[in-house]
Amino acid sequence: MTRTQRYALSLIAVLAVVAASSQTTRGFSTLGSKWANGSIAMNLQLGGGGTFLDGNTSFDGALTQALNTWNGHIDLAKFAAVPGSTRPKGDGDLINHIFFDSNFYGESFGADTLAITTRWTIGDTQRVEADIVFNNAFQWGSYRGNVRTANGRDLWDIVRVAMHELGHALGLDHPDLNGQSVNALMNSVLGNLDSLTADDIAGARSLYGAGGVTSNITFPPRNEPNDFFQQLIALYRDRLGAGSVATFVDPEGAVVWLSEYARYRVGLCDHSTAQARVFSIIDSGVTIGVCAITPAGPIPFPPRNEGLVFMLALNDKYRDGLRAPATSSPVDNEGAVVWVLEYFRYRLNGCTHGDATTRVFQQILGQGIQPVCRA
Amino acid sequence: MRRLIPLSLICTLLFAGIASSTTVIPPSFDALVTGANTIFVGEVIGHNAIWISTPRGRAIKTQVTFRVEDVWKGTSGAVTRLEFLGGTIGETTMEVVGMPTFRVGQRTVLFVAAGRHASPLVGFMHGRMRVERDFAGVDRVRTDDGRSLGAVTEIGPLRADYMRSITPMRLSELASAVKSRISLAGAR
Repeated sequence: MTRTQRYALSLIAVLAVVAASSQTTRGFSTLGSKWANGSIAMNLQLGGGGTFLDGNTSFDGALTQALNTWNGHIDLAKFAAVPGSTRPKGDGDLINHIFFDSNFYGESFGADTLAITTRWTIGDTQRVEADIVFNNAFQWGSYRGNVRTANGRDLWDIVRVAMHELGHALGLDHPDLNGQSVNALMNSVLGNLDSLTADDIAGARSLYGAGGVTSNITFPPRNEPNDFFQQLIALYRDRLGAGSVATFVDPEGAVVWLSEYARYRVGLCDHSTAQARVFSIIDSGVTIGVCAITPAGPIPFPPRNEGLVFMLALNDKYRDGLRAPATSSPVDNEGAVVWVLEYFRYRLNGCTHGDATTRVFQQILGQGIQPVCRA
Repeated sequence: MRRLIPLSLICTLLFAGIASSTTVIPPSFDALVTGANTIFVGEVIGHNAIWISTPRGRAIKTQVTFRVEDVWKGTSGAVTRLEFLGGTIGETTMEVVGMPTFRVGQRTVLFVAAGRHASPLVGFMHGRMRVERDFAGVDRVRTDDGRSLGAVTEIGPLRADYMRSITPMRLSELASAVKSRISLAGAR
């Protein structure tokens, strides 16, 4: 064992004693401002750098990894990496930049500063810009594990430094400087810890988590319900002789959002929660988890009246929120919601696309509710 | 300067840590003193934020004015002003993560670097120490982030015992340590 390793081990031992005796274990700390829900575009302008120890082949790639690591744990807002961005670098321009430089927008870094992060906010709570500038006077790489040196100099791992700075960009503060004792990459000291901890993730989710969980139910691929809906239109038009009615939700929109609504309902969200989450996705493009794992057994579906309330609200949102043009369809809103949800009910209870379509059409043609395909 | 590089490296390996954020390698006490052009104790008597033009756009700077109580190194007038990147103008805030912030009436020790930097202090935020008067009327010293500073040997990479509650050192003790370090450097 080297002297350095002995020092490190004794440091860990002392820290363990200190942590064990601490009264403060509450966890993460936040800075009091956050981004609006949606996408946070980050212009990556660090360029290449060769193949690194962890397999990354560019600094932009390493930063993308850091961004995606955070993205894996947040719902309401997500980073969108723009590798190789050529946007002019600027501060106070409402554009997020990450790049290397020898100074920070004209100001010297100072001898000991590896990177500077700025946050711009409006009204103290609304984040509108974040820039991270890495000091190119230092030696940077990308690697996992303990802190390294190379060529007799410190070799700084850009991924862990970036993940820490991005945590600040999201709105997280240092837990250890706020009277708390937890294992966290957001602590004020970066070292051998090279990944997010449960506390870091809990902090990010407190700001951007939808409170949801990953659904355990797999919905059919979108082309299949789309095909069902086209057949439904033909059935209404050709067999039932239905006339056209005005609607603002196009067929694809009806299938997509009824599918999402159904996903939340079978994920045990109540009607209002399911509707709110679907509308949040429409507004932000960010998928939110369901409310709970669906229990084993027959998959529960919402009553028709609630589905219809959702469909009418969706129609209003398309008309008033999205300014969608009116269109016409032989399938009215009530028919759309009733039969699409029935199609999904059959699909999620063991029926193939063909079986589910046939069973729904049998219902429409007066043959009664058909049995599902799984007991 | 030659000694500082391996010292920094050893510190990094021993404590396996760099302070952030903004990500800064915490300077040792010696590095703070030797790196400072001016070291003084002052009280904040005013601050105001201004827009500045930068080579790549615009930014906000906060000008902080200090009434100087005591000068430990270099020279300073009775009143001096430092500029820190970041600040608030109206509804708009530019925050430089980790940049020290000041309130009128606060007393502080500042290790001021020469030249024009994002932070005018040695070691970004590490070159600022808070002065607080205890119930007995003794001035005591805390770090920029509010931790008790028990001794100058605690300055630098966070130590294993940094979470312990300790009595902050006296301002007079810090002054003696700084002046002693300056004398030592002068003797060399």
